[in-house]
Amino acid sequence: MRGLSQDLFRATVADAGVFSGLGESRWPELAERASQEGVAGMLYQRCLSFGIRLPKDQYLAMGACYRRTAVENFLALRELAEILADMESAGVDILLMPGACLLPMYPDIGCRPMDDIDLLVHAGSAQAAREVLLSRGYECPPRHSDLFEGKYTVVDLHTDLLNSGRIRARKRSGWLDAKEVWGDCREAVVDGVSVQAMGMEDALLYTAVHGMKHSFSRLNWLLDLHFIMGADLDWDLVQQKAGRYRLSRALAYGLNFLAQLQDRKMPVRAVEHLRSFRLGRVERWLLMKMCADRPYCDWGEVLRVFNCGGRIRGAAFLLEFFFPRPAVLLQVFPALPRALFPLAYGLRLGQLCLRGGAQFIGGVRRHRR
Amino acid sequence: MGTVADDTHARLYQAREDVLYRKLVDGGLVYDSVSTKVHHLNASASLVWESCQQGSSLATIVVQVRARYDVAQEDAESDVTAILRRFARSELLEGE
Repeated sequence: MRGLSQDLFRATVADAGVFSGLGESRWPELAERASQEGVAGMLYQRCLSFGIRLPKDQYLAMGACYRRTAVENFLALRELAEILADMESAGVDILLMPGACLLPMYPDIGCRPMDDIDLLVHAGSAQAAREVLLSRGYECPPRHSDLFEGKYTVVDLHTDLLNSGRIRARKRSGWLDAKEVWGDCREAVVDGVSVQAMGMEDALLYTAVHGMKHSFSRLNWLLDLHFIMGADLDWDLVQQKAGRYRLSRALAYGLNFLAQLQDRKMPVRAVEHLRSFRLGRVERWLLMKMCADRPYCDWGEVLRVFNCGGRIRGAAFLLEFFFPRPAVLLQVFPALPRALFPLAYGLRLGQLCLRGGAQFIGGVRRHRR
Repeated sequence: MGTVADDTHARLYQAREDVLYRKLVDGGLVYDSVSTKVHHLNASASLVWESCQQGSSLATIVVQVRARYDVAQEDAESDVTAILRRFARSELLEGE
């Protein structure tokens, strides 16, 4: 984790001076990693703000990425404004989830790419929300009834948080109560669009779990965490919610990742949370390996096992995660006819073996290098 | 569509109010909700656009450009004129 990722993180959050003395020969590697980690736009923005001269190729490549992100985000947010207006007319309450609701924390709209816009709706309004999106010309990809692809953005409609509806066993390793999230939401303005956004304390917990789900393989989730921690957080509420929803461990993992990237002090309460949390030996080793192998490692979900409350529950979680119920598994293999769904389990096994093998070989190669 | 070549220095160039603008680190982007087109602006075009948002004459814009960039009066005038012409061609200014 140290080295490239750490330098990238430092440069994107505060100290672009870290790059000022770099020779031109290192820039291709850095720019490639920045692009892979979803922070090329942010790095470009910070370098230009700090007056750092970039080599021509990286200037052009990262600049193009920055401007593309700016336009995509801009258009997605204009679309969001129209969606919100239509939802309001249809009497549907909408809550904007991270990452879109975190955009105002970034220097500008070119700094954080968004794959989609995650919206939370009350379970009772979900059908009305779907109809609004379909009436706007959005289309669902095969077998995804809550994912809507439009011209300028993809909308992911949620009625529960942390996807415990998809993988039910996830709930054993922590959840967020949607009702409470609604109750603690805040008014926000995202690039001129007024929204109801997830409260900062919930956003911190959500981002910690979501980032871990993706093994923090992209630096932008760690940047999200960093910016949220810089906000005016009620740490008592964070601790209380984390305890109540079994998310203390997930938060500790996220903070652990962040602590390894930051060479400056974390907020006192974050440090206290980390100190108060004793991780087991295997857990510590896995976390350390994950940090060291960023961004190539993708076993973040496996760490949930330690939070399931016992080995049997942990094993049950792993089983459902690797081999989810048919409806979810068929989403992974959309071309497979429904009638042949038992084959999906074989395909899944093959997929897991290939992925595991590729990670193992990649790890050995990196180790040799 | 009008041009700016024969305009006097007294004319005010005013950005259309319904055109959205976002400042970026290397320029800006403007979004015309009527044509649904996004235009990228480089740093100098961005400066000219910001002046147009206030409603400015060619002379005022040139002064602002020269305050930012080390450029001769004639060059600044011709560059600003070219940028205004492109704004006009894209119908981003009032009264075009």
